Amino acid sequence: MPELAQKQKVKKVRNPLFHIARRNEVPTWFVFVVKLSFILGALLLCGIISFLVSPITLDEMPEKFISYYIFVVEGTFFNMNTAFSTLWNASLLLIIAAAITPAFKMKFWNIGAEGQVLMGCFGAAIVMKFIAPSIPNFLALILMLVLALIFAAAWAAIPAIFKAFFNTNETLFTLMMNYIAIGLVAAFSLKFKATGSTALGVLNAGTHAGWMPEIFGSSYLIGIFVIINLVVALWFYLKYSKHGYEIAVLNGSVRTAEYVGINVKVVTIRTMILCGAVCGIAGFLLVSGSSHTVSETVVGGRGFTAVMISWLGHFNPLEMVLYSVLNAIITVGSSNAAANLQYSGEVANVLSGLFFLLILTSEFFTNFRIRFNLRQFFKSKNEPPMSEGQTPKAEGGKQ
Amino acid sequence: MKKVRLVSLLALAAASVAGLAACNGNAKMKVGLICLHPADSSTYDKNFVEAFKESAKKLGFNPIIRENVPEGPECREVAENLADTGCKVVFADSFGHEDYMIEAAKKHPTVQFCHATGTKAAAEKLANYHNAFASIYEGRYLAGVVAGMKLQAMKAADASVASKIGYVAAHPYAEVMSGYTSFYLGVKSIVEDVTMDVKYTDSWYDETAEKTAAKALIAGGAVLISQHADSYGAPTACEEAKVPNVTYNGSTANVAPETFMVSSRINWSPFYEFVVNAVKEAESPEKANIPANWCGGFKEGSVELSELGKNVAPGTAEKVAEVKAKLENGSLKVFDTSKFTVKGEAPSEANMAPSKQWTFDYPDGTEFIKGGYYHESEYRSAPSFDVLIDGINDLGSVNPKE
Repeated sequence: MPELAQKQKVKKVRNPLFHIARRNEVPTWFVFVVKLSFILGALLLCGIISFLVSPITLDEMPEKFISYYIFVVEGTFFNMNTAFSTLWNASLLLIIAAAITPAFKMKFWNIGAEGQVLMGCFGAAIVMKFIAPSIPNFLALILMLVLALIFAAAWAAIPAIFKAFFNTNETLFTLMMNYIAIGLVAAFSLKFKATGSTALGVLNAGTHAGWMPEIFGSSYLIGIFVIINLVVALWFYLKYSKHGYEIAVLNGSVRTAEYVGINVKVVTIRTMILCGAVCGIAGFLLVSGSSHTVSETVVGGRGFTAVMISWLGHFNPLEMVLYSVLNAIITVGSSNAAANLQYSGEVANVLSGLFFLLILTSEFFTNFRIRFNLRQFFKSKNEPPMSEGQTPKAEGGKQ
Repeated sequence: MKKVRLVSLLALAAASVAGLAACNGNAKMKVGLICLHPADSSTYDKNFVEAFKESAKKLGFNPIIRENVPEGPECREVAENLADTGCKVVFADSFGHEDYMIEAAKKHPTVQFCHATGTKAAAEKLANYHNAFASIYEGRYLAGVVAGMKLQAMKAADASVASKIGYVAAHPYAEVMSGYTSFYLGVKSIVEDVTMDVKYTDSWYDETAEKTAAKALIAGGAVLISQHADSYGAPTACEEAKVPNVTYNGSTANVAPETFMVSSRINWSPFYEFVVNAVKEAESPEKANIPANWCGGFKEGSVELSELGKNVAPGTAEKVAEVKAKLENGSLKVFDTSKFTVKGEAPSEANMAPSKQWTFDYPDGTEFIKGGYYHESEYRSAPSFDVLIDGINDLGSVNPKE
């Protein structure tokens, strides 16, 4: 085939346009600048999309250019109530993200937080429905917490035990446990719901038995306070405690951990029980503080969003604060913007998804360096064809 | 260093938020609407959203629509958020939203909360929480008259046509039972010896089940079909079998051009407008004069009949106008107790009282039958008629459970 050989001969080899290399030393100011520009960029993009999809004309709303931002702020920090509600949403997300972090740190990919929190909610709701009306409220709250802890810790312990003894895949296991939890709650609601209704409805609406007491007119504040303390405690646990150290060693290498005498099975199960217990507290706070019922959707995907928050926060509970608050602001704020600017609520979901996709992208730029070699790239184009025999070799080598 | 980074990021976020909070001014009154599904994908929610937008244009309020709000605690959060961000009235469209609307109403006494299809307002006795429905049974009765005229004409043309019709029903609840009974009574007012088979789909929206049910009813001898479910299943099956049909929620002539006769629907605009005007007229929203239960009829424009299809019997339009006038002036009652029997006996409080367990918990001694008719939608706006009357055969679910 002389023609083919001819073609191969003239094929040019270019130098790549850019190289990607991992950054070794990343200065703090640099991370700050990159993250901030991505957050601002993401906000700008959301604002532009919102402006374009809204059917409201500029005559009707002269401030339409910045309307997205106005309504995001209005929906989240308009007054004390909305501010508390935003902080509450952020706190719930934060505590769940912090709860799964110890497991992530030892490379146990627990994506079952949704189910673990739901089981906590389920345990709390059982006490709320059947026991709370006939006992004093503080006792009811304690019992709700206890059952929530047991249910959620058990839900986390089961996959951990299987992992420790049978080396099952924890990602699939914890994921499937979510659906079992959802099924259990659905069956419970179906059994005890009122006829004609699709859900269990608010429990003890008249007596408020098992409801978190209000302070300063908000039932969220006690929960927020508890969560802040828990998150600090978890940060301390991971950073300074012996358990935290063991987790860190496991993160490095299981064999090293075994060599220094760490019982890997015990640490795996113990850490997952801790994860489950914290998820149980989250479930308890959710049911007693705001939902006052249990339904399949009560956790609302927070268990999955928490995975993202934990990663974005580099497994540091304190850093997760920022992303939890941002998430609460953007999701609730975008829904408010959609309602006020008269476009579909589905668009609001797209906006919050886009926002966090961009924030995730920023991780790439803080971890990697992109080196463009424009001059080489264009120079190589004009270079004479390579000598025979060299080209096929280089091509083959590449693949 | 990490902490410094964090703190400064947080500070910046806070500053940008605070800076924007300052500029917000909108003179129009804000009114919220909470919907279970997006209006694009559900005819039920669409019916609420479109009427809401129309009313907003007419009365000049600012419509704030929150879609995709599940029947769970999220509903309370959204309702509170709407109230917090300045809505004076918050509407919700789905039955399961009720508990959460009540919770939100208790937390925000200066905002009016109105819930369509709910049942608890009378018992809650809150000044700012209300239920609403429409006397759709009158619309269905009128649709029944259209069907009766057709059946009469079919019988006149061919003496072998049976006096048997069919009904595709969603759930065995008062709302559905009241609906098919009124439709049946409408047909019966024209064709005295008519009987009706009812088949349930156990779902508000299940195209396959609705189609199967319609086909089964036709195979069972029904010569005309009506329905109370939200998909195009039944009219599609009827068009294939060339069986005349009556639908709900708006005209279905697009899928059944040859066989569609008429459709009834609730128009929510009169209710929106009543509430918004009441709030505007009051010196403050919490003092607005809105009854705990509001039920609109033909007079208010809450109940509407679609255009008649091309296959209706001659003289139908005149007959509809005549019956409608009688319903409006009150000389004709849909649930006239002289017009039907229950298990062979005349209707009485004993055999007609709605089940307290299944329908609603009304005070003892409530008189449902007074002045010769059953008082539907008077003690609460949502329907309460839940008794099987003679002439209607309950054939159970299309997918029987074991």
